[in-house]
Amino acid sequence: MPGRNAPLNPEGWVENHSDYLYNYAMSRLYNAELCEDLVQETFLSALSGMDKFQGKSTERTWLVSILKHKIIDHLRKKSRAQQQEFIEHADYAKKGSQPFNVEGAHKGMWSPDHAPHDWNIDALKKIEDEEFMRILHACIERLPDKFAAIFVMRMIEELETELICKENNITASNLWVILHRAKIQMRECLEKNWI
Amino acid sequence: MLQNMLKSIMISCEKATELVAKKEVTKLSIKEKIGIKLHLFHCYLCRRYYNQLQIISNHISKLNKKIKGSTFFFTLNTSQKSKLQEVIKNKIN
Repeated sequence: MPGRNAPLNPEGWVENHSDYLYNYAMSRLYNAELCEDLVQETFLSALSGMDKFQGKSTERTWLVSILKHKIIDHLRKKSRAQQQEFIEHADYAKKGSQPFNVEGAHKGMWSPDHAPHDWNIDALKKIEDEEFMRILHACIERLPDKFAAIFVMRMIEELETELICKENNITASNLWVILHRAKIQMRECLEKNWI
Repeated sequence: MLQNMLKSIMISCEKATELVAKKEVTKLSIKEKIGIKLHLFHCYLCRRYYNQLQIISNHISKLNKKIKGSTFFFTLNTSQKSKLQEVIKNKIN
C-alpha cells in the first residue's frame, strides 16, 4: 500500500537529526571524533537499508535504533578485547586500593580511605549537566575497558541483563560482580571530582 | 541457637555492597534479603553507599530523559554538517 508509510527524507537527515544523533552518541561515548564517525555510519547504513524501513516508527526513531546498534557494537568490541580471565582475577583499579579491609578485626568493613563521605546534596544540584557528564565520563574512562563498556551498557544505555550478557559473552553472575566493582570505583571517583 | 542463626545472617560491608549489586541483576535468597536489611539497619556507611548509588543513577537517568527530549549538550558544527550532507549526497547518486 504505497503512501501508507511515512516517507524517508535522506536529504533532510543532517538538518533534522544529526545533532540529536550526535548528542545521543556523545552522552554514551563522550568522544567527539568517534561519535561524528558513528553518526556518519548511521546515515550510510540507513541509506543502504531504506527498503527495511517499514514506517512503523518515525524516521528519527529508526535512525536512533541504527545508531544504538553501532554504539553497542563499539562497546562490545571494547569489552571483548579484554580476556575472560580478567573477570575472575579482576582487582580493584590499583593494588592497595581495596575498598574494604582485607585483614584484621575489621576485615570486610570499609577501609577508612575508601569509606563513602557525606555528600553535600545542594552542591550536587547546582552542578551543570555538561560538567556532570564530563566528570562521569572521565571516571568511566578510568575503569578497565570491560568494566567501562558494561557500565555504559547498563547504567546509561539501560540494556536488559540478558542482552548485556550475550553481547559481552558473560554470565549473569559475572555481570553483577563487574557492575559491583565498577560502581564502587565510580562512586569514589565521582565523590572526589563532583562533590 | 539464636546466636548461631544471627551469626550466619550477619554480613560484612563487603558482602552487603555485593548483594546490593546482585539484587539489580538477579533474585536474592530470603537469607540474603534479610542479611542486607539487617546490615543496612546498623551500618550507616553502607546506607550512605546505597543512597549515593541511587543519587548517581537518578542523575544519569535524568540526563537521559533530557537527551530523549532533545536537549542538546553537544552539537555538530557547520563544517561537520556539510561534510555529512556531502557524504549522503554522494551515496544517493
